[in-house]
Formats: sequence, structure tokens, C-alpha cells
Amino acid sequence: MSFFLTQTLTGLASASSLFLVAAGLTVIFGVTRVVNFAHGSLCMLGAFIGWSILTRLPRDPAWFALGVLGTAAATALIGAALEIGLLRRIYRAPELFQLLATFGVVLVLADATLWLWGPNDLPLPRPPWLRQFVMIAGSRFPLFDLVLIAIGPLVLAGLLLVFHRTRWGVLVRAATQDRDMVAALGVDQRLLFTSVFALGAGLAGLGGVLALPAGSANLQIDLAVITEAFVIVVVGGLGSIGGAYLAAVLIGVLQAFGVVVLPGATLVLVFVVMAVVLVVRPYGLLGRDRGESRTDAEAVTLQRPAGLWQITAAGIGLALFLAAPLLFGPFAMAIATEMLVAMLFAASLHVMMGPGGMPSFGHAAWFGIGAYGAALLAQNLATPMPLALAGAPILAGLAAFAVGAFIVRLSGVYLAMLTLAFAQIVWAVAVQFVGLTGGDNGVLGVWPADPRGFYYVALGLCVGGVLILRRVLFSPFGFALRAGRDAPARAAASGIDMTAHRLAAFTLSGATAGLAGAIFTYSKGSAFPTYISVSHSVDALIMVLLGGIGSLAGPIIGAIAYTGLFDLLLATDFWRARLGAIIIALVLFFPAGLAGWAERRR
Amino acid sequence: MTYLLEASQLSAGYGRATILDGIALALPTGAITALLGRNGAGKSTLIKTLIGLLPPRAGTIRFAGHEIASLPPWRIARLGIGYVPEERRIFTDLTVAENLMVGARARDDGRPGWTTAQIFALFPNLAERAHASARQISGGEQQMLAIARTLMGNPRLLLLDEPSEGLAPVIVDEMIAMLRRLRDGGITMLVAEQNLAFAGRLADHAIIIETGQVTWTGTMAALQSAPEIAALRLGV
Repeated sequence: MSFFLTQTLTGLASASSLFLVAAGLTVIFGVTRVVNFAHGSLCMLGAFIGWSILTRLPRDPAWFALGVLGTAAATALIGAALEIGLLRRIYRAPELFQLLATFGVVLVLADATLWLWGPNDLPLPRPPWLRQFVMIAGSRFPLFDLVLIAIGPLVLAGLLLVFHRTRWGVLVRAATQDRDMVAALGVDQRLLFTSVFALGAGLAGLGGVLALPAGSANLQIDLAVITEAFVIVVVGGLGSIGGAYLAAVLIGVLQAFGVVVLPGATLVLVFVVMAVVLVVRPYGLLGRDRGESRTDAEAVTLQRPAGLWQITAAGIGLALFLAAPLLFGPFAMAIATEMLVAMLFAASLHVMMGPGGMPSFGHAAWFGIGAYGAALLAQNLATPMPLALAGAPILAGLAAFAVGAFIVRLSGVYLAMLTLAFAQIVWAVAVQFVGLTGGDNGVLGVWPADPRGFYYVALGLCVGGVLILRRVLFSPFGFALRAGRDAPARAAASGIDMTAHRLAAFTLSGATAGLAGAIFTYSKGSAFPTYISVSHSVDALIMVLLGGIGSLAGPIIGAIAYTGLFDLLLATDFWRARLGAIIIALVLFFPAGLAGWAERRR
Repeated sequence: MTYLLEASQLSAGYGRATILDGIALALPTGAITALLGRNGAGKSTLIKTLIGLLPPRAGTIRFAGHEIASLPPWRIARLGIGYVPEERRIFTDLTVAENLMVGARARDDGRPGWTTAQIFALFPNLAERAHASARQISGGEQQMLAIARTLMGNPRLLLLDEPSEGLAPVIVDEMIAMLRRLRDGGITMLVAEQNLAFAGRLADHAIIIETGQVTWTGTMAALQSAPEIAALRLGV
């Protein structure tokens, strides 16, 4: 009984800080429709700014409360600056570009934090009142956790009051539903959006600083928190504050029990819950299908077969890749292999996102399954390389088929979130199932017998893979897929089984990404959990969007440009900030991607 | 005759499609002008362009001494133009009273404007349902709410897009009476309509657009006395 009670209370305490961050994210999304990847970074800034403020203040509860409020105000101001400086300019840009821009912000803020506060974890010295315990049902329970448990519902009530009892709140709710209509009624959206963003950022900062006594200010907060906050927001229903609280309690309590009952599988558990909720209630616990957001859709660019100049460029490119090992030596061969793998990886994502119309935040899942599949086949079953290379895409394709069967009927952000959830499950398995996968140490020693021979195998597979994808996209299957993306009702009325088409595209995309992963494993001689990380999924997104989503040439150019850029930047200090700044600049100045820009210039 | 709004050489469209192609129009102050045209002639596009939801590609729009062609919608609304959209677009997540709150704005000149009490006197049905969710009221009530919400911003010019669409005849009668009362109170209106009978009972003037251009303007009486015009230009 006592165990049950204390674990529940522990869960509720962590639910409170999860809720604060998620509430900010959901409010921002509701009004601006921006999926703010940088929300975790705002939470991280809250932790660091809070540390700087609180370590300078007298250590009694009143000053602590004041410091916490000051931190929230500071992050709110940073959020407002972010909205005015960047997001305001891209509200009309496609959803994924906004996401990309906010990911650029993540990179910049990560390096800014590193530069300002250094690389070390900064724990908050805990004065006696923070170390106090109370006796509950015969066991000691931290007093501060009780404070946290109270803060969650208090903030929830406060937010509900503001949104229902003030004119500002009513305007925010109206804008969540139809922001153009609100503007047509004379409401200055800029003020509304900036203030909403400031509120959301302030809540993120509050969540960050309140988590400080139980942990520390560290550089891992941003991505750890954003993934959890995404899960909570999606499980609760996008834009629903009450839903966010429910979901935070669900996840918080589940984690508290999971740590004790299934210590090796907490990460998996969270994402399994998310997947189950979304399969049963596709729009989250308290969410609703909001339909298309009421803004004028941009014209879809028509996908045409390559023209003469594109074929010529591709021919020159191919010749360079063929000659690379002979002309430039082993280092160039390594970079060229990376580029080829990136190309196939990006092209596979393009199939899903472009013609398939299914955005994915978790494409690295399939890459990772292919990579680990090949590595484990080679290591544990002594499978020869050709068989391992053939087996990997089959494994990834089967996994994609199984997952896709549940999720392809969803669309937009919800689909993207489910792909993210699945990628996190795969990642968690790779990290936590040490016996099979080696955990963070990875699977090592998977080398091809003949490096130069392998390079040509990789070249053949990657180029061949892209050509097969191209063939499929220009087949009747590809036309049907695009028809279904652009006009689902009309395509269905024409007798196209859209679910089957989408599932086939999802599977094909997963299998191709798996092949890319297997080739990558052999070129690096190893498979690591980083192959499946969020940032690797984002890499693929960046490549596709950098090149332009309108054509298959886009991801190819994007992959080569991004890999080259990445290798150049990696050698510099603060490469994340540079990369982030470049991404932000690209979104601001090339909203159609590089290939799209070239297309328009012609 | 004075004109509250005058547009000239107005062009607008979506993507590569041009919908409005050099429109010129003038709305007489204090009168109701019907905007007539076949399906797809560009009526809704013209209204959206006037309120700023669709930025014009070329042309000028002068409203009460201001050039408004490049302004964002909220500025145009604050200058005194109210927009009642097709499909109403009321906020169904809000209550009736909250919908009115979104539209409410003080008059720029400091004189007293519409109060919620006056609005409820004009729309007694809405008064009864003030705290109901806007999702749960009838179609006719939703249309009234869309108009009432816009009135709360004290517009001098009302742009109504197909206000009679989908309403029962008895509700349409009520609405005509109500809109004429608003006109008599000094509000100028542009009413996009497909229903010629409705427009005939409501409007003082008429403008006909065909494929993005104005092809006829005159008084409603002149249009009604020459049925061949409507037959030719509207296909009725």
C-alpha cells in the first residue's frame, strides 16, 4: 500500500514539471500551428538561468519562489524575442519548414548555452528546507515533491481561468480555431502570437527551473524534454491544456511504476503507451480532428521526369563518384560513401513525405533497423555480407509494414509524432537491451573484406535504389499515390484504395532506408544507437527539405550538400550553432529548397 | 452620390490562377449594394481581397480616405470594415457571448458603439443562447451570430458573403428586415449573392461580375426592370 502511494506521489510530482513544459508547447501549437522543436531548449535555458539566479539569492523559500518567477519571466522574454525575430516570418511557410527552423534554433541555443555556462552539469546546492521529508503512510517523502504536486493543478487552473475569463484568453482560443477570421475581426495577430509564445516559453522555463532541485542544469535537457513534451502533447490532444495534464499524469505515474517494475524498459513503455493511445484515439485523449487549418494552401509543384540538364548533371555526378577512389584516395571514398548512403536515405524519406504525403520525424528508425539488422546478422549468425545486405531491407520493410498498418490512416503532425514514437522505441531497445545490441557501445567489427570493392557495391546499391524509387514514383502506383495526397476524397471515389497505397509506400520507404542503414554499417564497421537518434531523423528531414520536397532530385542534392556541409562544419568550433544558423537562413531565404529555387530561376 | 469605398484596376488570384482581373467598383455610402455573378465569377475572392485576407496583386482600394490595398486584415477591420464570411466561420469552441467578445472593439472616434445589450435586443435568439456553445445553435442563429460578432466592431461597411445560403425562408425574411434596419442606421453594405430574388428584396444597387471583371452596374430597380440583363449575365 505504502509502495503504491509513494510511487503514485512520485509520479504526480514528475507529472507537474512535465505538464508545465507540455502546456507551453500545446498552447503555442494551438495558436501558431508551429511545432516548436526549440521548446525543450527553452526549458533547458530555464534550468541554467534558474541556476544562475538561485545560486546568487539567499537560500530561503521566499527568495526561491521569487527566483523561480524571475526565471520564468526571463525565458518568456527570450521566447518573445524568438517569435519576433524568427517565427513571425515563417507562419505561412509549410509546417515542416517551421519545424526545421525551430530545430535550427535548438542547435544555436545548445551551443549558446555551452558557451555561456560551460559543459559541466550544474546541480543546485540544496538548502535544508529543500531536503526536508514528510512521513506519508510510514515512508519518507520529499517535501518539495509535494510542492510540485500542488503546482501542476494550480497552473492548470490558472491557465483555464485565463483562457476562459479574460478577453485575451478568449482571443487565443478563437485564434486557435480560425486565426484568419480573428484577424478579419480587427485583432492584431502579431501581439497575440508574441504574447502566446512568451507565455509558452515562460511555462517551459518554469518547468526547467522547478526540475532543478531534483536534478541539475545540463546540456541534455533540450532533446530529452522535447521528446517527452511531444509525447504528452500528442497523447493529451494537440492544443488541449486539460489533455496535457491528463497525459502528464498518465506518463509520470507510469514512469514512476515502470522504474520499479520494468527498470530496463521505461523508455519503451512510454512510447508504447503513446502508440496505443493514438491507435485507439487518433487525436489524443481530449483532442479533436481540427481538419485543415484555415489558411490558403500553397500551390503544389508538379513532379516531372528529369529534363536534359538534370540527366547531364546526374551523369557528371555519377562519373565523379565512379572515379573518386582512383582520383582522391581513401578519405574521399569514405566521404563519398557517406554521401551515397545519405542520398538513398533522403530519397527513401522523400517517397514517404513527398508523393506519399506522410511526414516523418522518425525515419532513422528504419535506417537503424537495417543497420542493426545487418550488424547482428553478420555478428551473431556469421551471415556473409551479400546476405546481410539483402536481409536488412527485408527486416526494415517488415517492421515498416507492421507499424504502417496501424498508422498510415493518420496524417500530418499526428502521423509524424507516431513515427517519432516508433523511432524512440527502436532507439530505446538499442540502448536498453544491452545483451543483444551492446547498448551505447554498439555492435562493432562489421567490416567488408575488400574496402574498394565494397565502395562500388555501395555505389551500385545506392544509385540503383534511387533509380528503382524513381521508377516506382513514375509508375501508375506513384500517380495514384500523389492523387491520394492531393485529393483524398476524389482518389478514393476513383476506386483507389488509399490505405493500401500509403502502406505500400510506407513499407517501400522503410525498406530502402533499411538498405541505406545496412550499407552504412558496413562502411563504418559498426552500428550505434546514434543511428536511430532524433537528430539523425532530423538530418534526413533537413536533406529532403534542403533540396526541396517537390522532386526526387531535391533530396539527392540535399543529401550531398548537407553531408558536405556537415563534414566541413564538424571541423570547426561551435559547429552546431553554425549549422543551426545555416538552417535558419535557408528556411528564411530558400523556402522551396535548393532544387526548388533552381527550378524557379530557370 | 458619395462612395464609401472605391476600387480600381484590382487584380487578385491564387497561385498561377488569376481570379480578379482589373475590377473597378464603387460602393454608395449608406446603401446596400448586391454583388451578383455566377458560381466562380469571383464574388468571394473580391470580398476576401477587400478585407485583406487575399492581398491584391495590383490595383487600389480607397476606403473613407485611406488606401487599404496593402494593409493586413486587422488594420482594414479597425478602419471600419466588417466581414461576414461564407460558411459563417463562427468560433464553435467558444460560447455565443465569447464570440461577440472576439469581435468587440471600441470606436476609434470615442463615440459609444454597439453594446452587447443592444446586440441582444437586435438578435433576441442570441440573448437566450448567450452561454450556449456556438456549436450547438441552429444554422440561422449561427448566421445571426456571424453578423452580430462583426457589428461588435462598429463597422461602417459590412461585407456579407452569401448570407442567405442554407437558411429557411422565414429566417431569410427576418434577416432582410434586420439588414435594412442596419442600413437605415447608417451602415453601408456589399452583399455577395447568387440568389437574385433575395438580392432584389434587399439591395439598392447591383454590381455584376463575370470571369473576374465588372460587366454591369446600376440600381437594383434598373436591373429588375430589364430581366434580359440578368438572363444574359447571370443565366437566370
